[in-house]
Amino acid sequence: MNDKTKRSVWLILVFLIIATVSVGYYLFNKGPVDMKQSRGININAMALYNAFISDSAAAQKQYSDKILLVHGNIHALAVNTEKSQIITLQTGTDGAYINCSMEEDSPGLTPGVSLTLKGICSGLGEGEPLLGIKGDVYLSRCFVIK
Amino acid sequence: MYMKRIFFFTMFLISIYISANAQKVFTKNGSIYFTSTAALENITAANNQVMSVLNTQNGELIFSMLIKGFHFKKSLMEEHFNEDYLESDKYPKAAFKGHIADPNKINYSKDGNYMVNVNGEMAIHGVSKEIAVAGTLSVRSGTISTTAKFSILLSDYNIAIPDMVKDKIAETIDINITCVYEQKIE
Repeated sequence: MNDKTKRSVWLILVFLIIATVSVGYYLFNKGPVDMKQSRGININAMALYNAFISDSAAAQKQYSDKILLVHGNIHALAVNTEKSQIITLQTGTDGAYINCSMEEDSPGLTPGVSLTLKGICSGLGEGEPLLGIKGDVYLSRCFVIK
Repeated sequence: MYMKRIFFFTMFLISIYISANAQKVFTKNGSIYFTSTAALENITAANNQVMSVLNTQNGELIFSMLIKGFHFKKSLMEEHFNEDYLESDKYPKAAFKGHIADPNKINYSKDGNYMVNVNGEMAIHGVSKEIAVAGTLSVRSGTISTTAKFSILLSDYNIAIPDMVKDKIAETIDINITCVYEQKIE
């Protein structure tokens, strides 16, 4: 191996090391997915809730951890202990809602208004059947799309 | 004018009476966050989707949350948390069911902060363990809230931390939980 070839091999090795470290550093420090730019699965609030009620395991696989675009009517607006806005969407079942923790507040909304929300689905939360408390399907990092 | 004032004052008293006598209160949007403080890195994650029920008659207290409701600042951490440590597809929920040890000292019809001891069973990662936690229960204008800070040992719940990341993940995790019980079951 002559000097020129040795130099080329060293340069390639150094480049590969720098590239590997850079990619590793980027992946390690990468923030959460950009919700506004990401595509999502379209579904309406009633169908999403019913999917979890009829076959929780299948719905978990299909929707949990996925970005969803959920269409529905507002049941109520609230604020959680962190002062973030919560919007619940009607599911057609009394006491059970699509429970959306908003990434940013959306002022001017009122119960009954129809809208589409984008958020990451966490799954169907636990209820307390003995007390008649039904579980909600939770979405987090939500934005109002329209 | 005078009658109007009496009417509103009476309504106010009735609403406080109803709140004070509601046997069970609950929330579906309580908050929990945990902190891992290790030599090389501090990690925090939050979950604002905690379901909690408090029975004001007997002091029964329930908390439940989805593991996938925890969100981190770094996506890789969240991925490892769900896939490698908590195995959230296999064990999707964490829960606590217990009782306030001294429920009679709480006067739900009077504003105040009450230091309470809660004993019960915590279930995480498919492992259930008896724990005792000290917390605060507050009553403000008929609204009840609870806060607690406590620590858990990951090994108690069969959560194994590989040697390679032992300097980045603490063996003991500090947990803060806050719930405001805005809904009532009469």
